[in-house]
Amino acid sequence: MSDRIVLNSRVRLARNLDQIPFPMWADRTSSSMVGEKVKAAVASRTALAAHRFYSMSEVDPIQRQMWVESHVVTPDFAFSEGEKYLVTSDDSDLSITVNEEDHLRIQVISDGLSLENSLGLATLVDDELETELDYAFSKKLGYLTACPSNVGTGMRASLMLHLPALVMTGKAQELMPILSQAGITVRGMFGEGAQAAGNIFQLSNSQTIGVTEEGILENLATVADQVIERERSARKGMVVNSKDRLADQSYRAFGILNSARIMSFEEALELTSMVRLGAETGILTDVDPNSLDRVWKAMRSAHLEKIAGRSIGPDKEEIVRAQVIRSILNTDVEEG
Amino acid sequence: MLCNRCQKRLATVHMTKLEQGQLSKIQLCDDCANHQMGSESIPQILSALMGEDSPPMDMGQIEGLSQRVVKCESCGSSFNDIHETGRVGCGDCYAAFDENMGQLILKVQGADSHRGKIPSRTGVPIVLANRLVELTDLLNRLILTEDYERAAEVRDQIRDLQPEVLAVDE
Repeated sequence: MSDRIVLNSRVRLARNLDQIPFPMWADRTSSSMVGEKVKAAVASRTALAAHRFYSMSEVDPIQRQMWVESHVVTPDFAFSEGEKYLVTSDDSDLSITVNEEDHLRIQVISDGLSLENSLGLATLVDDELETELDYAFSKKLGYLTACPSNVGTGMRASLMLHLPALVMTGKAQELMPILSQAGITVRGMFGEGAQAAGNIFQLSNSQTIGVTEEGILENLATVADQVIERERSARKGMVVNSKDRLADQSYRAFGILNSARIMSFEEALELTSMVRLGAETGILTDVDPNSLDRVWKAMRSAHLEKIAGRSIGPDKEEIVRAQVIRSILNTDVEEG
Repeated sequence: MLCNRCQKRLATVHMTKLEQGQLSKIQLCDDCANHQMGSESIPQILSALMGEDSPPMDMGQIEGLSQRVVKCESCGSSFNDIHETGRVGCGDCYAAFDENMGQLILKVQGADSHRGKIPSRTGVPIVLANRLVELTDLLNRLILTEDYERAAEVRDQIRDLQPEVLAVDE
């Protein structure tokens, strides 16, 4: 069975408008003006016609939370006061936040390893917007950003990786300084450092100036390739050296996931990781990896509420999560 | 490359230091950089940039940081504001505080010259100017190697490009 170590690829371009204070220093009038300019630019470009322009304060909180859970926006952007806007569509990998840390952040998140495609779409949208908007740009420093750590290309490229075998064999910690020296920043997607919940890590470029966009992607992809190879090697080692233990752990995890009546998000994350490891190493054969993808997406709070079609409330959330997970896994088994 | 300070570990931090008006580059390992910098926060990097073993300084007395009291004409931010928050006021702040911002970016990122994308519309003059510099460099190299045939071709390309550069400058 093929593995799915790279969960998604993300490219984000930070852009600011010339002659207007950056969001942290801008008053409401300036921030509204940025919103109006971006709205007009989006409306005038046919390539962006399918995308809607949202004023965050007017959007239903559950929808806002869904965007947070899908990593489209940060919690602060979704729920803090201010003139904050989002351009996106339901069937697109593209989103543009307006008045986050920078005036614009063009972001493309796509499934699997697809950095070049993500950069291609982000660049296309960037070019479309630039026909209408005057960016803050310097010949020497490149795109000027609110934080000097983004100046230059304004680009942050990242890969979300599922690395259970490296964590379980204690090798993830050893990798951190090596990745740092290679110019890659690592953080847990749900937690910090090697304690990343669900064994999910994000690798991204540390440097944004003095390098080309393509160079950033090449370095990230090269480093990620090495990490992926080490994960695969660690998985093979586990199958050879501790197959029974791996089978026991993954079947136990599947049993709990498929039977529990109350399930926290953190527990679901850990169990899903173990089940996926068992399935991808060919040891656990009773589960379809596609259903694990659906479990991963469905088990977050706002996604659960959307599936349930009603507000759940924190006291019932863990019960509904357990129900939804069982339903997905059992349906897929019956259909399979 | 080995750390300039301990000469034992691999250098991972690249710093540019301003000392007696002269910029010099040093490469440090993580341990020595932490020992020297204390912290990697942008405001602290700004303070530490002024000298390797300097005692705490009155920033206003340092020639290089005299810009702290000047405000950006576009947004009104002072360099002190940027120093304290780690966030820049507007695009023009980079030019208003260019020397300090340049040092900061070099310290944070290890480089301070953009090599990436140039905006398609507003960046046309930059693209043309860069092309002119590239062709002029190439012409000089071809003349040095006495490749006069190719030099003539490049000279003609420069001649054709100059009216375009002048047109966008106007």
